[in-house]
Amino acid sequence: MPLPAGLSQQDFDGAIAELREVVGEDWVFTSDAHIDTYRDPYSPLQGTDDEPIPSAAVAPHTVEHVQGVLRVANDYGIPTWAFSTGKNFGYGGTETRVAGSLIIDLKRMNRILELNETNATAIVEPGVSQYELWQEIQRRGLRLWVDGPSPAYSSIVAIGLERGVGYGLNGDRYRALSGLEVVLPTGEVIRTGMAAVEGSGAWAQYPYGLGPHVQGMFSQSNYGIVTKVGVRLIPHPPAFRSSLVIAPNNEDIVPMIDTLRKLRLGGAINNAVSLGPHVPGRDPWAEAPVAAPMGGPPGGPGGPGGPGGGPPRLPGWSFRLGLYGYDRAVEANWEEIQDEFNVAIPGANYETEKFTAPYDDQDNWESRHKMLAGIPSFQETPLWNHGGAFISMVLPFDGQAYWEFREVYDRVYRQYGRRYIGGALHNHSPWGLIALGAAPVVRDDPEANARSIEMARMLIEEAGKLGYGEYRAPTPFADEAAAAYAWNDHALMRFFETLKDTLDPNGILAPGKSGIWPSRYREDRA
Amino acid sequence: MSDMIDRRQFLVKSAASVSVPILAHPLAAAAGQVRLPFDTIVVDERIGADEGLSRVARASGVQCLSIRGDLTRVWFDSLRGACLDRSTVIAGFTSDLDLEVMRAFARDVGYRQVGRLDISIDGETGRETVSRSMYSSLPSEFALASELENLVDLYLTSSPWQASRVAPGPTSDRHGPTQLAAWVIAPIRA
Repeated sequence: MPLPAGLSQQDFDGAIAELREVVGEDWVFTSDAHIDTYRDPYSPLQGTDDEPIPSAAVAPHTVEHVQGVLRVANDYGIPTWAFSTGKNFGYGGTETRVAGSLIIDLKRMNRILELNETNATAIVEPGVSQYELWQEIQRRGLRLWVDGPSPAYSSIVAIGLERGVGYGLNGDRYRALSGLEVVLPTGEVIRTGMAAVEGSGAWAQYPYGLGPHVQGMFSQSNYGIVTKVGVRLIPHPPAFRSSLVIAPNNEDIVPMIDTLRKLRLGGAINNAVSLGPHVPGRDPWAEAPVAAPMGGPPGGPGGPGGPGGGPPRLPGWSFRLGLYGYDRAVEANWEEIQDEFNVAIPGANYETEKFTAPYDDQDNWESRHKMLAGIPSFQETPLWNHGGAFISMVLPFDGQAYWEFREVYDRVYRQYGRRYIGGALHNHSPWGLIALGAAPVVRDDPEANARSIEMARMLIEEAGKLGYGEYRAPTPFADEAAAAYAWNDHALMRFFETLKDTLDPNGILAPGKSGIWPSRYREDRA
Repeated sequence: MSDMIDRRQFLVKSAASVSVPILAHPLAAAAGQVRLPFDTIVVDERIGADEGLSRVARASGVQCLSIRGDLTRVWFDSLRGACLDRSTVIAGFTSDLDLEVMRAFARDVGYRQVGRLDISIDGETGRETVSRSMYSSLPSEFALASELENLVDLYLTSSPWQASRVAPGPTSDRHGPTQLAAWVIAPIRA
């Protein structure tokens, strides 16, 4: 495996010996067999000279361990990359930006430190998965839901810090975080928000604290390693209605988005709605986001056949809608919602089911209901198509804007022999849409992946011309994604770099994450 | 670890076993005939692997766990503990994405994928393409990977592909080949 740049074998061996003193002999990994497990077979760089293969991995168990690891990294100038738990198929995982990096694997930091039913909050470490938190809630018999992406192995902390999405009332996973404990690159430990109060009695209740609100600095960033997080959970509502809203035609996406915006902003709909191409009999989430944004195989349009065996046509759309609250309010909102869609979309239809507390049978619900409620759903992973590099743009919550965006994406897809049939559209806030696209990644096929890299870059560039940027970037495309945020000659990136150089003077923590490079790398790259 | 058997012997006995209805299956006898070098086999019921494979697995005394996509519950409720308690060998027959999830889980307990066979099934024709990859150079791990081929052969001969079971809807709607993976994970022996 490659050594960190500029480090001799002797120095590297010295660093490894010190790391073993910090975390114990068993928790430093240097063999090819171990390091191989940290490589991402679905990275578009896999198998190429550009693949940033790590040099070693270390698994701390405590905050003191994390501090010790960073001390060694600073002493030897070793680049590091922190990772919690789970596997992301669209935005990377353990893949680093710099070859020879030391992976800091936080899997052993998996304690649930507090779980409060009354306030619907928890305090957890980064190695805690949704499922483990859910198990503990069940073990204690608490009436709480979690929310989050599906499948359920993802880290509660990571999905929040990376600003991922769920599907229920806490679908904006970043906003579900409140109060962080962070080890800075220098080894100093800070807490943010109310967690900074000595003996905090309200850690997870109010994220802002006093003075500048710095929690966001540690989201999608390389300014520190988050070791504890306050998380907001969802108390069981008295009633819950789970519905599927279906629009029959592809062009119905325009009135569907506009009607949804009205209902979201008006407060009738409060869950993080995800729209996807609708195929009768299939749950839209079963294939979006992996399959649909790929647009099918080369030459394939991806839609069901037209009438009489005519040319394939593009599918309609659907989204899952959750309504939560008192029974009469839920029912009144459901009536209004149907009325709005019936007027906006001729032929709109619905599937719906209502549940009332106590939810004693929730473990037996279908996955579609669980996802909306915030119960780990074990949603089926798709059986077709590979992972991909997601290139997902933030758009206004506007049907016509999406339609025009889709035309642009489709033009790029066609250049690469595919179609953009429209992928998942997340709206975890009432004010914006996230439109998912993806460049397919094929394991062990560097030639195909080279084309995908080209395609991903073109998607970013073309979306940039419309004034759009990504909400989150696959690791290998972080620089291109960051480059779109160019207003005033990249003033924002200069600000990020100033912070980086101040907080991480040796540039050891996740260099290149979100396109933020410390000074020593910037000089090399210039 | 069980003794390994010859490939032809395995196929003949396995095929014979799975052709017998489960209720009439002579479990005790089959357990003596077919021995698998795995402690547990995870099968995804969506791909028909729950039938032939699980029957043979159970007949040979191997624990068989059924999933329907998403290994999370099976991992945390069963496999994780087994991996931590003892040295165990787990084979699986799932989607390729579920294998990626398993690789992440396995790493967390000091295990890794030591063999992998990818099976790509054409959505239109049902034709299978099998490709092998990522075998370890360690002899013990290579042997395990070879046994994996037996499992795949068994699946392909005894559980013929039924596209309608996993991909309902019009044929023209399919987005490409269905990607399955047979895999085996074992403790990392560096």
